[in-house]
Amino acid sequence: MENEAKKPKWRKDFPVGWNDDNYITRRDFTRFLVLASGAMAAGNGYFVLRRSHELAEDQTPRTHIATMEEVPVGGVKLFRFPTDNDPAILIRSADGEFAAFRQRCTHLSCPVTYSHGDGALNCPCHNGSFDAATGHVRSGPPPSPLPKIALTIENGAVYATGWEKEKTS
Amino acid sequence: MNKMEKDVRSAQRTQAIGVVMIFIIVILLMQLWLLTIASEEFLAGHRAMALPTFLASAGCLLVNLWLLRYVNKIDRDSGLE
Repeated sequence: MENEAKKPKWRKDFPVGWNDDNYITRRDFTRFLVLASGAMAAGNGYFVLRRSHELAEDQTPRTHIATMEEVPVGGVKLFRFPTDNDPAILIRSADGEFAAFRQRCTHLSCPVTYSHGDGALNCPCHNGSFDAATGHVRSGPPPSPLPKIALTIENGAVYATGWEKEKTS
Repeated sequence: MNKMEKDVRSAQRTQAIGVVMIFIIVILLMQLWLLTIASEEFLAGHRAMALPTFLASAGCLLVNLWLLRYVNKIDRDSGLE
């Protein structure tokens, strides 16, 4: 306070308590960090909600996909399962067996296409390749198998009934 | 309380808040890591990690809230609030 008289006039008009100023700034920044911490927890909560939503989707009623005549040996049919936003692919392999998978690559969700010659589902984005019978990864960057759709065949018609176990592994 | 004592108290408060801030930053980085894990697992089609990462992140948030309470207590004690 003894230096008060020596201060320039503008300092007297606009006094700044530097210690308090730094202190308040740190305190407010700390509160902002805690707010960010809440946002992180909410982000993780979003994935829990999506998970429970997808578990509910797994209990979808069976859906008619195609008749057996519609899909020749080596042919495919694209459909949507379990919702209209989920592309899926039905394959009839060389031995006449049906298999269906989600059509999104497990790497970055590009649509996969069926290659009858080598019995593979290929992703054109990064050359990922899946086995068309099991959905297991053959090569490329995909980290997990393609989710396989459970099928039943009744009276010459193919139905999707849910997901096989690999999806939740 | 004379000026010197006041300055020492103020410096101690600033230091305490700085330490708490460092703790919170470290916990926040852990939460960022947990969010990254949950996101990667989700994109890979796995669902098993969603709940454990959320619980861990919520635990981190509770610790941060507890630390924030400590900061507010320092404020109250110093008469800033």
